[in-house]
Amino acid sequence: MQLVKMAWRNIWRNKVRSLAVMTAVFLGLVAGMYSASLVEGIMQSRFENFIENQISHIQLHHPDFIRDQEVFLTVGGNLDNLQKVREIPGVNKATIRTRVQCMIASASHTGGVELYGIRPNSENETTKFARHLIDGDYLEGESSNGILIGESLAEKLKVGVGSRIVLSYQDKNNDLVSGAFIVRGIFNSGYTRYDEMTAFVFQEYLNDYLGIGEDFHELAILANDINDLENIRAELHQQFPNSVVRTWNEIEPALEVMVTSSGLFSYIFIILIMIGLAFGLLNTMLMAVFERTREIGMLMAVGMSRTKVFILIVLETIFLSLSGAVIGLFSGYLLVAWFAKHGLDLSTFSDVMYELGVDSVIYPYLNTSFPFILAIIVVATALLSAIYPAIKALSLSPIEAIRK
Amino acid sequence: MPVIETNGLYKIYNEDTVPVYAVNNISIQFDPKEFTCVIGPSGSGKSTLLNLIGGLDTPSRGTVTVAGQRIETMSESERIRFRLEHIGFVFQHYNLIPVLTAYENAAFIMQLQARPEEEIRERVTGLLEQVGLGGRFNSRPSELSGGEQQRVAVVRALASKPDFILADEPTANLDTKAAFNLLDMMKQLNEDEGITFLFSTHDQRVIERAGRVVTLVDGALHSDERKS
Repeated sequence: MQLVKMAWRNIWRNKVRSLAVMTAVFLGLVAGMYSASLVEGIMQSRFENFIENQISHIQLHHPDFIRDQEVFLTVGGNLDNLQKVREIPGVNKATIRTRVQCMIASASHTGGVELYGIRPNSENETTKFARHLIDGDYLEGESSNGILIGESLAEKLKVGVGSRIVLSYQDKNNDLVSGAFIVRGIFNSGYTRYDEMTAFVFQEYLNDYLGIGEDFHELAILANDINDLENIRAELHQQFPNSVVRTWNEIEPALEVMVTSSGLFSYIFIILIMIGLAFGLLNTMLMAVFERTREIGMLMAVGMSRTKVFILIVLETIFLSLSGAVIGLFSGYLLVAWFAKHGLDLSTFSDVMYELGVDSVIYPYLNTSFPFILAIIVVATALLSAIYPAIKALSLSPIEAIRK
Repeated sequence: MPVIETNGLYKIYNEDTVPVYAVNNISIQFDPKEFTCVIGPSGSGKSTLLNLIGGLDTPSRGTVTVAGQRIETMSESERIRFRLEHIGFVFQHYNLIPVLTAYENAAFIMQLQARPEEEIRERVTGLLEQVGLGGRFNSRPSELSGGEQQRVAVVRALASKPDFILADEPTANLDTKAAFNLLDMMKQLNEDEGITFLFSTHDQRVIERAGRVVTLVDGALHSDERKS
């Protein structure tokens, strides 16, 4: 208690210097927490967008379809199957798709695209795809030859809503089939490459051309909770024993790397801040020790053990850093909480954000354990910074120190 | 039995090149309750002798026995512990802890010894009042005069009832009135508490009040005079 009292009072002996260090700790932590939460928020936004708009949590295919993408590699199915899938515990939304590689041609351009035959309602429920439409209408009503194409593809083809384009693909028997489609809507998903390479039509209409009846190539599932995926996978294996079921991280391993590395990035950023803080603390505590040479010598002369002198210096360093850290962590938490609720509007950079697959309003996210881990890192930094000044203090000879 | 005893004590600097005898073959004893001052010109070895007796320095040769224990053979940690338990120090520059109040400074050694809080309060309060600082318990050193600071330092040294108190030129930074007050107070405490006081000093006022005067010249014992 005696040491705690002395250490606390000692840090206020030079108020300006101590306040400068505390302010540095405070600003460093606020900036660190906010940056880390922003990165985490961006990554989460990107992750959610990618899951919700594109790959979903789980996909099911014919075992060979992933490699060969042949039309005949289908999974047998009908609307009853889809209904059964929706009844699996943990499944939020589900949709089935037909996928085929095809050539798309307008009067001025020809190119390759991946054509998705979708069930408009269940697709929109699962991927909320209709929200990406920037012109025209979503696929609605009776099955027809309507088609949705990406904005960048439309620009290449030089077509607009109502334009006629021709698609050519192989059917189930590898015969080349062509069909005319009318552009019903133009979308912008935020991923230029995706928009350039993808088009959507009615599944029923496409299946008729391909001759695959009610079969499908892909079943996509959005789960209620990411932790339910293995249970859902097990159920799907029972319902579709001859299919392969993959979770989001198996479909897009890069996405998993992105998710895990975002946390790492946050810690690297924090550690860089802490290294700066460590040198600030080290300098401050060394000055404090050199200024109090006589006093420290006296403490040892009258019988304060070296261990207690060491603890005194360490306590001073911890108090110095924690005083700034407590306020910094609390302020950082409030700042992140405010932006987590109201969002950080980056619509000025919406084009860039769109390209990155991130919403233009970012909601910073902070793992609840992060501030506590941060507090531990601050204390560890303070302990490391205290060692050298404390050793310097212990190396003082009481007689020499008192004479100064 | 003497409270302090040195035998053939030497402190030699540069022993391998040009030896300087800071303390030269001193054998002396100090008995309990003595009020002794060590005098001599600058460089005569007064402070070095006190440092050796106080276990702040180690002799080149000879022995120092304090309260029946040989301290020159102790490790640094043992000597720190020994100083805490057996020796009180009063320094020329007071050396109070600036962030503690007069009461906290006076109680510092007893708290280091982990004495019960009740005992500390009773002892320190009584001594501070006895030396005329009853109203200054909560004053920081910067708010006290030199004389008041040195009185707090004496109470700090005395409160834990050490075997003896070493005071290195305790009046050197005090004006005449403050020095007399301090000396009267120390003499009184010496009589009341029965604690041995050993000073190094140039100050004639201290010498006049001492019961025994030990004179050093060039590190050696020149005279040892006991007043009746």
